[in-house]
Amino acid sequence: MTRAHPVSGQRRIAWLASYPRSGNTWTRLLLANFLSAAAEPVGINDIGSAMPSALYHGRPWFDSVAGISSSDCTEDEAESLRPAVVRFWAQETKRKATPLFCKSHEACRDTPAGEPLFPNDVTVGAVYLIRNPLDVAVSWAFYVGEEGFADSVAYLNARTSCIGGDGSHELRQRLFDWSGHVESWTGAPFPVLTVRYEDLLADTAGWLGRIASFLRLDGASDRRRLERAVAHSAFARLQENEDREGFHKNSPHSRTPFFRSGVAGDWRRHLSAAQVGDILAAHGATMARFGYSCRATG
Amino acid sequence: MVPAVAAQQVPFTIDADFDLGEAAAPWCRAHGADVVVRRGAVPLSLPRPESRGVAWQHAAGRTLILTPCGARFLVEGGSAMRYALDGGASLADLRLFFLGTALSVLAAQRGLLPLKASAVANGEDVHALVAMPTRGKSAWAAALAARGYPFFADDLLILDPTGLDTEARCYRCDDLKLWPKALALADCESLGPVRPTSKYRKLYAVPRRRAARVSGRLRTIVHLASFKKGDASGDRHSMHLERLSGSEKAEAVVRAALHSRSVTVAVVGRLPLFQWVMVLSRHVEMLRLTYPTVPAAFEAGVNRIAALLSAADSGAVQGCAAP
Repeated sequence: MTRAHPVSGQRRIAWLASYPRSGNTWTRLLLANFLSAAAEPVGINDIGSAMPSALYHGRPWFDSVAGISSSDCTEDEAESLRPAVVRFWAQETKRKATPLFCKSHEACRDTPAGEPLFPNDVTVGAVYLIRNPLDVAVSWAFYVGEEGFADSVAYLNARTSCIGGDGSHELRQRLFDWSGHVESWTGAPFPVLTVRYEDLLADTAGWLGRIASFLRLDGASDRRRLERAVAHSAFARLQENEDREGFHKNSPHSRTPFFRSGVAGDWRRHLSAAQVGDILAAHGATMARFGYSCRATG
Repeated sequence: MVPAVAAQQVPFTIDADFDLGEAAAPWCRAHGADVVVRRGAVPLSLPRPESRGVAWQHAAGRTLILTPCGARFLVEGGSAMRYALDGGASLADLRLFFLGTALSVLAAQRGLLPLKASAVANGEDVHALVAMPTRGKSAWAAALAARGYPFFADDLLILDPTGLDTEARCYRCDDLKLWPKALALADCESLGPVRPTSKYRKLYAVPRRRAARVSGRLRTIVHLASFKKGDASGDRHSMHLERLSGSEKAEAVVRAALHSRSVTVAVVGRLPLFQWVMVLSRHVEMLRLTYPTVPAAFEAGVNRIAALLSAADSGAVQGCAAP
């Protein structure tokens, strides 16, 4: 297995990248619980205090590091400044051997100024989470509070799909279509570990160990530590945590919890044959490359 | 119609060679001003910066601000500012960044405390709204202006800490700016685009009522938050109001209310800043309203804030429990 670069100098950023609703937050919780190695679980609202991390699309983080207000900038201006922002964060954050984790839903691409949005010189590597787009379409529809899945399918199929920006509390994130997103990350010019959400569900400790090993984290082969992190991040526990104290990341428009289902194959209960056909027509080749079909589990 | 601004003292006066806009008019003097702002040579970097961020550097009483639109500012000793316009930056761009980051740095260099806050007034009293970026504080201020609280400030509220032992005097300088969807929510008319590019959609807007005064006594800071840990997920669309205690007050100011936080900390220094914030927290009521950031909840939220401010004005705000 290819491994990430060691943390060295300003090369400190580990990207946790995915198309939205593909298990990114769960993976962050797994890593937070693994890194904390504590007897008690890391709360779903406390990931940031358990590991050095940032949301690459977060306006508060951008404004704080950049020193100017993103809401005074055009989306292109803010986007073009983001590589400098993450470089500065990598340089100035207190030195530790652990990478700085930066979450993103964006496609791996260039800024409007022509610079890579995810700068290679500060990157140790990326963990790229991929999930069956049929399930992504269902999860996305519930997250944005729409019950019509057709819009969600159209979103996954549009090359121009974006989230955030234009007065939203997140900076603009260009996603491409689902296949374009996958291709952008799996072809990134730095080490990338691609993790299927369905595989992570099936063997969570095993895949968490691979992620930890890829990122050169201490304890990557410590089975007990891995299993405790998995137990602390069990879906039922996250649902209970969200039910008890809410979750700051859930969309205010959503009528369901953020941790709603988490299962593979939920699309069978929700998508019409035509909607499945639309996704297969647009993404069949990429799906097949990663072992997804409308017949296979997940 | 903007009411005539009464002759009032501002903490410093400015002689600028470009139009700062209507809201900043009380600060402007053609001759003998405290601060002179002129177009001129501005370096791309400072030698041996003592501290720096992505968009700023600070060294020996000088602060360089580099904006992504191509406007650069060099603020020197709290009395002079030079600016340069590169890369197609316009005077409208210059004005926006001047009345934000550059003026907050200038204020900090002069020993004043710049807060990133919208505000409304009630007579001499000023009520500030602070929040994380794009959480709607300008829209709330505009909507409150339609409910009897004249609009006071949009994004920058300058506080004079020298008088904090007796009162927290604050000053306004900028015009109301709203995103298009907030314009509709707050029922305001547009005065046109803030920046002359279709890629930037914020608009100058006319509040229903506007305070005539340029200064006031800061009475309340309301921290608008969109999430409160402890809400049950099924109750995410309710509102919660709480009075902040000493350390929470200080944290709320530093985290959410300090304008251009990193550069302000560098210019002012951590210790003076901490001392100011602690004194401020003794004189100003600080409340946190947690509300759902959905348009359907906007009306109810604004009414809640209006009732809250009314209670504060009558001295009736006691322990603020959740409703």
